[in-house]
Amino acid sequence: MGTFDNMNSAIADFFNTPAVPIILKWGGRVVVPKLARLLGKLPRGFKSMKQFMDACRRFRGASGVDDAVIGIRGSAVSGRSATTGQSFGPGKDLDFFVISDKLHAQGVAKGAFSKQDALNVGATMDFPALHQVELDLTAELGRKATIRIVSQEGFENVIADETAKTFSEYIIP
Amino acid sequence: MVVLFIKSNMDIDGLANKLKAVLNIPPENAEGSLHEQCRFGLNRGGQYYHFRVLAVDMELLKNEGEVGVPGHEAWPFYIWIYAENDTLDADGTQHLARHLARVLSSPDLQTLAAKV
Repeated sequence: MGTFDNMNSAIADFFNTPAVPIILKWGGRVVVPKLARLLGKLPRGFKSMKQFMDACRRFRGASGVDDAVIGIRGSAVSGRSATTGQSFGPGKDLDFFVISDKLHAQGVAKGAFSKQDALNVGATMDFPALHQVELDLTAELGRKATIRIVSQEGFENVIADETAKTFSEYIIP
Repeated sequence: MVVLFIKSNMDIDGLANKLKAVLNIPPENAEGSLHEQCRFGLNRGGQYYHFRVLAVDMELLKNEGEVGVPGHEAWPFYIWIYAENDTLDADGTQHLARHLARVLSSPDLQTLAAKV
């Protein structure tokens, strides 16, 4: 019995370990090793890893490009607000992001504001399919879901930099 | 889509309260997923407010960091006004922004509307 309890404890510890952001650069591209998927814990706001993965797949499909890498960041991952320290609860959004040079270029061509190669929030509205997934997930999960579009460089400039400053975490399944 | 830039010495909470007062906005949104008007999302630059009234969405954001609008740095806040499902066309959104600018204006608060 003791061994069984220890095993359960070990499993619980494994899944409660904060997500480790494992992003490797290879020839200027973001490469996410399969190991990241194994280490990535279930973000808050989802009932199962399957539900989370399905949300990522839907965003990827709606992106319409072949270089999209989908991830989630913020309090859904860390369990607390990066700036206020408040725990993940009502009023906390699900902050998805898509890394794609092609999508970012489309947004810029549409006249969207781009700051440090990250598109301003309004830009997302110019992508009806992506926005529809935002609305669908918001309704299904009972929590506001949004997505930002960043280029490869924007991901490194903004999201990675923010991670270093605020210790916020992100998951790319 | 219309953005109303705001210059004021108030903080975002004070500004949100003023907005709720002048537009007679209820204390909570009806939709469960948006129940809390004061929200937190990194994709919206941190703390922000989301009001949904008569199928019109108004998001009050701090004009800084990731969601700062280039060229408008002198305006500390902006309200992003839009409507889902075409319940309000472009003209209607602009009329609403104009009304909002009028009722918000005071000696210590300036506004600037812009189409995005």
